[in-house]
Amino acid sequence: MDWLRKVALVCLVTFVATGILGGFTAQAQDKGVAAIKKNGKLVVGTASGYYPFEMVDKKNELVGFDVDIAKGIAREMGVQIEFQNYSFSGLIPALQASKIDLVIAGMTITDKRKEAVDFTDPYFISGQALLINKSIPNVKSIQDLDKKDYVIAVSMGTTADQTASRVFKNATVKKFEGSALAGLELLNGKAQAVVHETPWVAIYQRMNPDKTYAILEPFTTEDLGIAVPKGNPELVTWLNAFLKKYKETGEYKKAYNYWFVDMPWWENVPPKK
Amino acid sequence: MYKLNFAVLTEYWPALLAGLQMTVKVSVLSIFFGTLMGVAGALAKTSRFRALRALAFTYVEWIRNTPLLIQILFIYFGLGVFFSLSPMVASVFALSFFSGAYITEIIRAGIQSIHKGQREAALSLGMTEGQSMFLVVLPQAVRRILPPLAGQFITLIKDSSLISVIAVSDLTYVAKNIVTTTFRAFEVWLAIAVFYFVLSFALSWSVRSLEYRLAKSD
Amino acid sequence: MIEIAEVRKRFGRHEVLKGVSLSVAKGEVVVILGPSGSGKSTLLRSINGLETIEGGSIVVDGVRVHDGRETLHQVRQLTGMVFQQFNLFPHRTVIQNITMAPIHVQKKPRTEAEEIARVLLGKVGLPDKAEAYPSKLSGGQQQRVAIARALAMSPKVMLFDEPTSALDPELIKEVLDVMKDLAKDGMTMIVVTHEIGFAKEVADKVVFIDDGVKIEEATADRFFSHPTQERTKLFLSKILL
Repeated sequence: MDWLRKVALVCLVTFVATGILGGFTAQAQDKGVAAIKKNGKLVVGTASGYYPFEMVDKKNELVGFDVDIAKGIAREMGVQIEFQNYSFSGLIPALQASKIDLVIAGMTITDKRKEAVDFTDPYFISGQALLINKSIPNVKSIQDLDKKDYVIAVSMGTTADQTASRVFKNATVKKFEGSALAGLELLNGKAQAVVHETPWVAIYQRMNPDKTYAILEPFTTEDLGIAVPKGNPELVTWLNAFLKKYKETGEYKKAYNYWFVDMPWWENVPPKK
Repeated sequence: MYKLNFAVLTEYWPALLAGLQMTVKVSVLSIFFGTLMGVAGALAKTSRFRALRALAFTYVEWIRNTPLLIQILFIYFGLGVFFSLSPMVASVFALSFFSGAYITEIIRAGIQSIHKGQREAALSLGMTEGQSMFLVVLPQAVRRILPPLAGQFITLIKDSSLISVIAVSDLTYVAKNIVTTTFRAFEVWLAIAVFYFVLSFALSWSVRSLEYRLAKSD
Repeated sequence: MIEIAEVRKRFGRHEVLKGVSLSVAKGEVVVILGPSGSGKSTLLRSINGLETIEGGSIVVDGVRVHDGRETLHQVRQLTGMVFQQFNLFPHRTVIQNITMAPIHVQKKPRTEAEEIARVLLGKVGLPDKAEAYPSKLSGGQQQRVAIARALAMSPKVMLFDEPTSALDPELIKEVLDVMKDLAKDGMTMIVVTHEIGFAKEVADKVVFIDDGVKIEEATADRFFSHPTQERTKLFLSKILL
């Protein structure tokens, strides 16, 4: 039994050491503007698949409303930009682990999230909508979907996830890594509806008109913000100033019209199957 | 500054236990069906019919050369276009199919490790190929197969974490859920790692005592 | 009893048996000698179908050996084989080893099979080893059990493939004694061996095979005292003291 005791001891020591070291190294590194400029690079975390904020076009490049804002930030700072694509639920942990400088991914500002990260002022106002499988016609409201055998698919970790889990009492909420898989579940008929923000629902429905219809009227109101690691008020201030300038110079309006109204990018972005 | 807070584990303990249960359940079912597939596969691979041998070969090579994650996604989302499989069924199916290929090789190697003189002696006594396999070769092979088979079980428990991507409420899925709600990535993932570790370690410890006892009877 | 006619056998490109013929009458004891690689073991193993043949034919008690599964099954019940490596089933006791085939192939009831087994164990001199596992026996004892196991199926012919080559010298005699008794009882036997003493004492006929060809065949007396072929003489000069 002697070797077993040794093994247990090693495990205990490893566990404790990891805990202690983890505490030490998990200090939020100072990633203020100066640090980013010194690095020569802005590392942006996003979760591709949220139309039209961030998505991948036929040339396999990342494009979208958020992407343009991020590029604008990097340009203003005078640095290169690097995008890192995560699953949505992995973005905040990545920020906490200092793998990225900021997150711009159609992320809603919530109190819970504010405990973990800091947000800029809102740069977009959105709300949750419903995407429904045509096999269930005439759905008018959430109540129509809240039935025991129904499945509501969402992207794990999003406010859609939290909202759906809150409002659906009888239906089952299933969480997937990313809206793409949630949408696929719907198309395969395994889920009756998907809850996600209005822009995404509208576009996804347009991509799959034969299987889906949508109720676009948002039933929540959500502010989207850029997330940065905690303890960086200087960066928050800088970003807020940037956003103000982005709006005042008409850049915002131009981008908005391009991505949400005229949508000339439609042909270049491959539809989701 | 990130402040450690392990209390989140006690708060979500019931959910974690439920996830653990699901992981164990799926793993046990999968190893059971996987072993059945492995026996069939091994017999096919050592049979005298070329068609069976080719079929088994294709099966094993496909499974061993594609990632398990892809297999799971294919079975659930890919085949899901044609017919409906619940996530639980799809998981067990995928994991059984997956481990079955590796078990085929384990059993085949076990069978082939038995000296061919055993089969020859059985045949010389007038036994059929089937009798020689089931009365003489397989019983001896079992002893050699058990340790790597148990090892496959342990691997399966760890690999089963992938079924979380098709929203099966296993240990990993529950953990992801907790992390996205509480943002306590460090504490939760460390705890999950410990869970899997304890599960695997306990099993490999029993395998080692099983091996020890079998070796003694030689 | 056994007719071997112009048997040819190839392993890949190497021709191992180049048209060998041999007749064995009922009750005859035939010893096959030859250097290693000569094909003597292959010839023996062809008789009960463990090896296939490319040409010629082998007939045992009127049944063709290489003629499909049914006849093969019959032949294997007519013949018993004893291997150099004994090949006892290690996961079964001695008596289970002996009764396995009678029970599963001849469908004999267990009690009858066990009775036969005990008689045979007595014959080979191991009456008290019935419940032992093979790993607990010496090489000589294991080989004797193997002989009993083969005899349990009441074969008409016994085939021995270098039965003592894997034994320590002091254990060889006990096995040869059993074989001698068997011969005395009138069993038809074909023995591939290097034991010249056994051949001189027990064999009716000695056959010398070299490089896949039967070089010489004669009664034991004549073979050892007046071999006619050069190659035979060369071989004998190397192995006899």
